[in-house]
Amino acid sequence: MLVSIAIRILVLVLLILPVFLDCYTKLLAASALTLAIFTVSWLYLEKDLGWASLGHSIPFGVSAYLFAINPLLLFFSPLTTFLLFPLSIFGKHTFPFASFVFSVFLWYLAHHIVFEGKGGEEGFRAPSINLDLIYLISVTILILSCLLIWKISNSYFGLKVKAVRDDEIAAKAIGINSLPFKVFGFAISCSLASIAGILHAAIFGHVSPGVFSPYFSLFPFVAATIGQGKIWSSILGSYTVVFLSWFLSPYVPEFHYAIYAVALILASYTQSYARSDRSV
Amino acid sequence: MISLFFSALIYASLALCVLLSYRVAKVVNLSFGSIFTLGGYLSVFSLFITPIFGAWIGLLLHIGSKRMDASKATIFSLGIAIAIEEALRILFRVENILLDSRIFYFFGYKLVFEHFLASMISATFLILFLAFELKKPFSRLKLKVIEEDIENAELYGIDAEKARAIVLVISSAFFCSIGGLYLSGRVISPTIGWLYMIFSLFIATIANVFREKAYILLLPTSFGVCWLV
Amino acid sequence: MLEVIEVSKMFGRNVVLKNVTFSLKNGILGIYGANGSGKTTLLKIISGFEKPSCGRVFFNGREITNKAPQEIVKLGVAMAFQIPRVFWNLTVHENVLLAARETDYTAEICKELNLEDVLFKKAKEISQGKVKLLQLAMCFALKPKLALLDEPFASLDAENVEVVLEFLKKRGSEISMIITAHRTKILKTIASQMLEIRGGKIVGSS
Repeated sequence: MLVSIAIRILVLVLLILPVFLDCYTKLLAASALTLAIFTVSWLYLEKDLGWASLGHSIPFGVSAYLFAINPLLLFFSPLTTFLLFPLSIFGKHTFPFASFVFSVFLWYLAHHIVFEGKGGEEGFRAPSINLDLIYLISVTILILSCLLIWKISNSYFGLKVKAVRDDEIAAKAIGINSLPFKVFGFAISCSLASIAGILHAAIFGHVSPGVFSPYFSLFPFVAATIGQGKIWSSILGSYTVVFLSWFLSPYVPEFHYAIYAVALILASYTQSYARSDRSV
Repeated sequence: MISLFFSALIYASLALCVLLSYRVAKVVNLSFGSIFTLGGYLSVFSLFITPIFGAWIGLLLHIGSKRMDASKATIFSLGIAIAIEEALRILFRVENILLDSRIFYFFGYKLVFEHFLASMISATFLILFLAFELKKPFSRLKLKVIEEDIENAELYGIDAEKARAIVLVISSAFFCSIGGLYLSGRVISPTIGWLYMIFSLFIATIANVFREKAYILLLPTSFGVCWLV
Repeated sequence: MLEVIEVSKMFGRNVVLKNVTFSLKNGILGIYGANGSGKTTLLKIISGFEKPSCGRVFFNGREITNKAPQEIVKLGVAMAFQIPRVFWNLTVHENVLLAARETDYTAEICKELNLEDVLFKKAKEISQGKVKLLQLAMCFALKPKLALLDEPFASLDAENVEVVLEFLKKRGSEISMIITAHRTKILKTIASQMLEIRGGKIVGSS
């Protein structure tokens, strides 16, 4: 209990402190913040719906690209749900890898996206927004997403979503049609990941094929592993990965991948992903 | 046409490794991509050490993911993949390396010798597996039982652990050697192997649809996919 | 209430049900037969979890053949599986609440089925016998007009068999039921009609 309160206070300090710091630190914090929103979106899909995506960079990256190509295309970003959701036909155990392979495929494909002579490996310039403003927006969105997920998760509707997660046949046996609940869960998660992608593009003013790279695909999984699947600890996990990789990259190239490797190996020993079926 | 045929042979054998890992070792081995890249980097020193390093990683994978379910073992293999990639980044500070190659003429066609060698090794690998399928019906039956249900197999005295170890060691050694040969003449970076792994995974997935005939249909599938691409 | 007309089911070449025809007006219908005789398949067809190869099923005059299970539940037909299908990561209370939709009724049904001591434990943390009771609780929490109970006494100890028997006798006056079992002794104590099924065919009734 004490640890949980301490983590919450630490997260709040991490959210408020950069407002008073220099531009570079604020940029770093803003980046961590968008990735924290991204992690929260992933965590909802994994915890409440039981689908562990290793290709969550799909809604994240597609929305960032749409925003960079033309901000008006943002209205299409909720449709990214329908890029990830169809992969659920592979079932819970294969979904993580199917989504991962699809995100790597998009990573290669993104190198060939050219629009009005721009794009390709260079990527697109995104509309740049004042850093202070985008930071405040990001903080607000993170808090709102946590509240939204908490509210849904604790409602009767959320209970039905969890029921579908645990056993779809049992859900049908008590009159719950699983499809709308699954689509709803994916839509919430993908919408939040899309928002994170748009904020990411707005903060850096640039989007490259790298938004589909394993760095982004695996980021939420790694942050959630560090945070042991709890929402506040996972936000802290996001900050840890971003800060560590930024500070240690000059000494160890792309240090975040070392964190990823350790987190993935540890996760395979400790965590149970793609929960649910204890069905016989 | 000849290079298409050679590529199809190589991808069919790589897909065979992917399929065997999935069916027998119960792991979608995502570290194959990095093992392939590792082969490329090791070929700078010597081609002969590539299968040895590959086999060691296969063994590490087997020991590390023993008794894990398929999802966890796959996540473990992804961790190993990224660890190899990061190790390559640290060891070879210059990210992109151009590998040497030798050119030779095969019935008037200009070919890279190492690619030709890779396809010949792949053809041998496929033929050996086919011979195993046809000539060793009892061993084949054991493998089939393991594919169906590993616990059931153990219940009837089949050493599934040993079969798993053999599959992971051989397939990793094979991927590493082919990586060493097939990446010759190319500029390589630590992430280059992903593309080859995903392509093999794609062929293996299509072949897997044919269930029991999957192994036999790997080569035609590979040929069809390579031709389309 | 329920009419099953010439229902057959084949899995590949294997014929599991052959022209099964019967009707139930109200009360408790017991269906008995050996393992593999087709009892479970028959209940699954009525509840929509399996589609019949041919034949029709009517409930309260409406055809329910090939309807989705969740639609059939809404018409008032609930099913309790032989191998329990519950929500393993939710508590017993949440499991029953999902079906009952109201807290008071949830508490009442859990009390009747002796689930009070495990009310706030997750389903995966309770014993097999209790899971079986939970499955029954979820079925009756739906307030069905017809309950389909597949082997409700299997894997229960003597004490829990008594609890279930009491519960079914009490509910039997207001809810129609079809109960399957491969032993007839217990079944005869509560059923008003009995059907014997052998090799997918109804071979006797009493």
